Amino acid sequence: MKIDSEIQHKKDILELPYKKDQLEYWGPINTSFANSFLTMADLFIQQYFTMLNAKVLKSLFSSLVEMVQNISEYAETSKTDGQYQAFIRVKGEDNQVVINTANRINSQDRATVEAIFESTFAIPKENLQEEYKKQLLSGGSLGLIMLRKLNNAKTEYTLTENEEGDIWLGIELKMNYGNT
Amino acid sequence: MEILNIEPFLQTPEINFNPETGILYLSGKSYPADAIEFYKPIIDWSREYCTTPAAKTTLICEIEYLNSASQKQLVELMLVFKPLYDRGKSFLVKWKYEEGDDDILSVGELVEHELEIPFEYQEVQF
Repeated sequence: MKIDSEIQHKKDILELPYKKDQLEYWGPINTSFANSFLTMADLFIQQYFTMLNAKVLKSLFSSLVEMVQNISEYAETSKTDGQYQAFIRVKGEDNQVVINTANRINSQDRATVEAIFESTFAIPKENLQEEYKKQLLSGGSLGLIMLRKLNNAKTEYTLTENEEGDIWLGIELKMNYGNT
Repeated sequence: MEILNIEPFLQTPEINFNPETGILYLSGKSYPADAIEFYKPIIDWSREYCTTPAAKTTLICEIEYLNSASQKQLVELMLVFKPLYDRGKSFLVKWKYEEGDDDILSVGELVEHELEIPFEYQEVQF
């Protein structure tokens, strides 16, 4: 509690938001950073989401791994204008854990990304296990299917273009407390 | 042929594959961002092992966590051993998973069913 107060005080001075059950990162992400971030996030989740049972904690971490590694693999990295390239946030909110990620993608990849997301999200929930099996055995893409397969969780995505013409892919996963 | 020994790290499991005893042990968490790179030497070693295998081969997978990329690499690894089993050699996968972890259990069941290789399951505590 004393440490909380001290951090809060320092953040008040710097006018920064402080939420002890929130992990947020805004910046470039590569494979090496993703590995380090996930190791830290594993500890964070276990420390701050103690109300979740072991199975839900594992599902939560597994979702975060897929979402962060998706960014490290596919985020657009060609621009070196100093702009941040990706965003990750994990937070507790109204009996839910919410994971948000956003990353800039190449404009020429927009149609491909859109097609992948549209086709994966069009798969009825009852057919996801069959699709998962197909992709696992053929070496296809599993991450999105794994996110959609989770019980007590909802995944949504957005593709938006900002004023500078950059395309951003946003993914949000909301997981209710309870059994997954 | 040398023993393949890889120490566990933050995102990668311990590997101890012994060509003399035929005990191939993989244990821990596996969620490296580049799973292909991590599993390549393991798959290459296994291919060579299958040319002159021990009388009995047991692949022990004691898995706490697998990301999607590692799941695919484990399927690749099992595919290396399938011809060994199909040739009538003794081969068994001992699939150990955390108590109550239906996801890891179902990965094993799926691979067993689709690849038609023998699995033995055991719940363990990490």
